[in-house]
Amino acid sequence: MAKDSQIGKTLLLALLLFVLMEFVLQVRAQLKFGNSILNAAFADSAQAVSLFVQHDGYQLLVPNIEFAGSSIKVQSNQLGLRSAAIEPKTNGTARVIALGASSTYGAYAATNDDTFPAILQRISTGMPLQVINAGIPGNDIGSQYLLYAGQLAGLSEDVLILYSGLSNDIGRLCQRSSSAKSYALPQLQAPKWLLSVDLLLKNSTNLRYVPYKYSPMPDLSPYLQQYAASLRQIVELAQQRQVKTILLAENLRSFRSEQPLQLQQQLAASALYYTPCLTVGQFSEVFEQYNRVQQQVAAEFTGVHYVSLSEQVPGGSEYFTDSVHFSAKGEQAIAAALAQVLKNTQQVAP
Amino acid sequence: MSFTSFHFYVFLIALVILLRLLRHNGQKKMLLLLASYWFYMSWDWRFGALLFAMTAVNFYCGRLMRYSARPKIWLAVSLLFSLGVLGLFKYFNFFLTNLDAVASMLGMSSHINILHIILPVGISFYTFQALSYTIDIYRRQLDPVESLADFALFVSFFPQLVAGPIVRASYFLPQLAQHIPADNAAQQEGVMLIIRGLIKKVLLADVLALHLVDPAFADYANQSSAFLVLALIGYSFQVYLDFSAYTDIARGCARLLGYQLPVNFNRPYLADSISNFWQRWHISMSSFFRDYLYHGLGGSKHGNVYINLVLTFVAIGVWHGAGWNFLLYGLCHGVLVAFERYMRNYGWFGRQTGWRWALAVLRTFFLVCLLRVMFRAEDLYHAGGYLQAIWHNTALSFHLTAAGAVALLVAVILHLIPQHYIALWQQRYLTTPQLLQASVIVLLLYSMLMLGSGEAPFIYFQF
Repeated sequence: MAKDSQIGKTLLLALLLFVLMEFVLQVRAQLKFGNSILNAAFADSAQAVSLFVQHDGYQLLVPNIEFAGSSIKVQSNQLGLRSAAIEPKTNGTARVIALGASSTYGAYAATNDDTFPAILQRISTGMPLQVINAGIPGNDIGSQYLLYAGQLAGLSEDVLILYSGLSNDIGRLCQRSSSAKSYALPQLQAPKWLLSVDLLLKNSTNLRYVPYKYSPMPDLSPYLQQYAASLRQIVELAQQRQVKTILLAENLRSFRSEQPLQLQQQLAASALYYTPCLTVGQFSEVFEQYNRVQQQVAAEFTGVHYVSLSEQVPGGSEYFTDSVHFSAKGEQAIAAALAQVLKNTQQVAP
Repeated sequence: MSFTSFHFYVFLIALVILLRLLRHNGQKKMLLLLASYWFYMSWDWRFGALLFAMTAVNFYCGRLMRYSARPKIWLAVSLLFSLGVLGLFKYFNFFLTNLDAVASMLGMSSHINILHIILPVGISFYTFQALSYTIDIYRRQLDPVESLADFALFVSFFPQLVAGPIVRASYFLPQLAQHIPADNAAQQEGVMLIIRGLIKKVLLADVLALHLVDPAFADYANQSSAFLVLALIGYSFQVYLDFSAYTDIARGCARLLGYQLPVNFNRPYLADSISNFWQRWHISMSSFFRDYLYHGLGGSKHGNVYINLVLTFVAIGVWHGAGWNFLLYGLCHGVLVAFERYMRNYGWFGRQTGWRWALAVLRTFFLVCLLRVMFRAEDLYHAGGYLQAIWHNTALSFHLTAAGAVALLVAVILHLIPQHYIALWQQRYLTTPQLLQASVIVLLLYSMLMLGSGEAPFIYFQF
């Protein structure tokens, strides 16, 4: 633009305002969660810019780090799990691995101690427990198998609790898959870390949601088959290790079909953001179909318990911070319910 | 590379800056030519060869026509090549499919394999633009251009390449002779046109599509008549806003680069007749068909004017797409325009004023809306199904979201507001403090993110 360009100056000013807003949001994220793009400026190594490290088919936290903000403090252990350092197993202690995704990790849990695996460890079940939180955001069921087989071997666990958290599996339903070769030239994309864009989109899902739109149900069969195969692999591996397995039903979510539709839509906002091709009703149906697969797989093996905690952890914003992630009360409720399950099923016994 | 993508605006800003750094017109044109090909090839790099072939053949036909003793031959080569390429990509599979259907109806077994080809974006637009050049030379209304690069830039100029306006060589080529960089006023006009286009596309057209039109057309059997009628009105505004948004952005980009593109719309839903509608809607296309086909057929001077009109409108319909619905769409418009012409010839259809004019506008608008069913529906079967549903599903209930209702209301109001008021508001906005102007732009950007439905393609890309 020319030096005297008035509109050029206005556009530049708009860009500055946008950058300023983004900077404010990044600072807020840094202060609240200890995690923002600002880490790139201050981190000692490139690895520490992100909380996560990509392994072959799954991801883990960067080992032995601490990311602290006013709302959330994350500490990783030597394996890269949001869990206390893993000490050698002592006699008289039952070791439990809680395998899953962001819900197990504790996406909104203030500290490691506030995640349900850590709370479970503190609840008396008749025998001292050491619960390892192996929940990592972004890991789908296939990644969870690879993590279990690759990193968690040799931990001599007694019980495996699997709450795979379907978000990462279901998220794929709406991705456009094209087998056709693309001849398009590469295009620049807006950076994914732009919080002003991300926050706006996440908090405005309901503005773009059309309750009466006709949206054909995606064909779930290939996804369900893939899910069943990975689930079987996890259970088979646990059986080989002679580990008792609890499969938590995938019905712990904020929105439930018994709620009024409008409330369901409000509560499902973040789920619909990641899976925009589904309606709220279809979302519940998808969860049900995955649950049926879980039940079938559980029935194929002996000593595998399929457990539904939907009554102990009811829907609504009291128990959930967004569509699927637990609030502090939700983390406590699920830990208490799991402790009861462990007692009732005598998975851990002195 | 969509006009609503992040990538496009990085591309545009870089181009505007680079253009300012270059001193010689030749360098600027070369940069624009390369950028235009890059823009086009961003969809599919193979399309670049097609665009170049279209350019080269018409360029040399134009030159040979001027210096040849038999220019008709070179015009025929230009027409055959250009329309042949268009026919192959756009109509050949439609022809084969129908041939197959006829063969089956006659009990003959046919083994016709359709061609697995994709329709290059904007092919109808740049084919017609290239053809206008050779026809004008043949009619001795234009001298052939000396430079292949200039002609290539005229055909490929990226702002209007994929969805018009269809620019005549006589309008654009003189602008290439001397580049006049955009001054302050031109830059303001350019940016305002782009902002206006983005508002029309992202905040109105896409919202209407998401909240009103797409749900109605996807599931018309289960929607009430009232909702279906409202969706049809919504679609009329959606297609206008979508297409005129593209034109606005194209004109705005051209302005920023120091060029001008013609106006393509003049509040078409205030037309008081179907003929008047086509004088206001996609003006560059309708004037192309008027000048090159209707007049070629004899216009009102030779042959039967009514048949000439109907044939011209059938061609307009088919230009939009290969399908019986598009053909019927053109035929209906043609018959209506011919009927109006007939009435006018006998003095039964004159210029209206007052409430008669208002009634004529309403009548024209609803006729246009009704015929749009064929334009929007997948095919004639679905168009018929939609109309049947309006007739049968007589419930009056409909559940329109607030966003959809507001978008429709704003679209209607914006269409009714006289242009000079909008220009006045625009002027007032430009005189406010720059911080306020910048804040409005940022707020608009945020609103587009919240209400937009991603990078929805422009409707006219498919043509």
